[in-house]
Amino acid sequence: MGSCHAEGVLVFLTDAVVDLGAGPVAYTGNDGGFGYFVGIAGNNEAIDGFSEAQKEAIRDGFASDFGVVGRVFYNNETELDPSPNSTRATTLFYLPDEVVYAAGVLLVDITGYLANYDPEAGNSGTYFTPGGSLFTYTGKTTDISDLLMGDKVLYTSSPSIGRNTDGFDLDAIEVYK
Amino acid sequence: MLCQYYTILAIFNQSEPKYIFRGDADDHSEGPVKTVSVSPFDSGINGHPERLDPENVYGQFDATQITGINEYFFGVASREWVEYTFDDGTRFCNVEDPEIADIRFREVI
Repeated sequence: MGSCHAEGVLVFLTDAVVDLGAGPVAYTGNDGGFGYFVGIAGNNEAIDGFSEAQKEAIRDGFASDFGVVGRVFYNNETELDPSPNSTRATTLFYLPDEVVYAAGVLLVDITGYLANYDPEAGNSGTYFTPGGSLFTYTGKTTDISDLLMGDKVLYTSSPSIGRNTDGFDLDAIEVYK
Repeated sequence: MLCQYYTILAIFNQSEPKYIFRGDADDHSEGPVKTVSVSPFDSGINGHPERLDPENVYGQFDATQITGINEYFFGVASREWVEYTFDDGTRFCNVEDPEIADIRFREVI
């Protein structure tokens, strides 16, 4: 078992407190309507299968859409468990330096978007797109054809349809508090 | 600053980071992930059984997930979005150490 294409989520912090040089203050923005945008978490295909330039272009594209172009992000890494027969993978995710703390992590699945960038999967034919509602991203069309057109349409299924969509798989989040 | 205090604690306590896991409204105690059989796929009949194996849990149940948004901890895409927070309102910190990943997303692939 394993992932055959890139999967990923936009990562936002909720109730973030940032220090822009004058001490910690509550972040007053609301990037994309979700909170404080800190980057993209992906599976190993999304992290290792993309060039750094590709990953930065994708992330910076969203940052631009959210109006946070000047934000300094870190690149992520994937760590595979070296234990025999283990299939555990860990995405090491680093927060921008200006973040002090936050209350939560909010994830928006963009697998449909990332999969179309996957150099191995190509642009069509490999991403499983079961029926379901599509989440509207910043007012853009939700036509499923856009998934194959590179538009930033975020995929999700409706709760009444198959619960396991072909999106970002997550088993645990680990943070420090 | 309170969070710097926590950060210092976190750095000195690196071996015991806190874990956020999928939570159920009726199961918020420490212990293995409670599996929920709601469809052939989710019950492991059609795949992903290892994700439902308690042996693959990475720690303790110590946080909650907003009920109803994402009932299935391995399927973020099964909802429009999903938010994870600590149940006691505790915040988590930017550790501010380049050697430490502030957030680790783990999956059994």
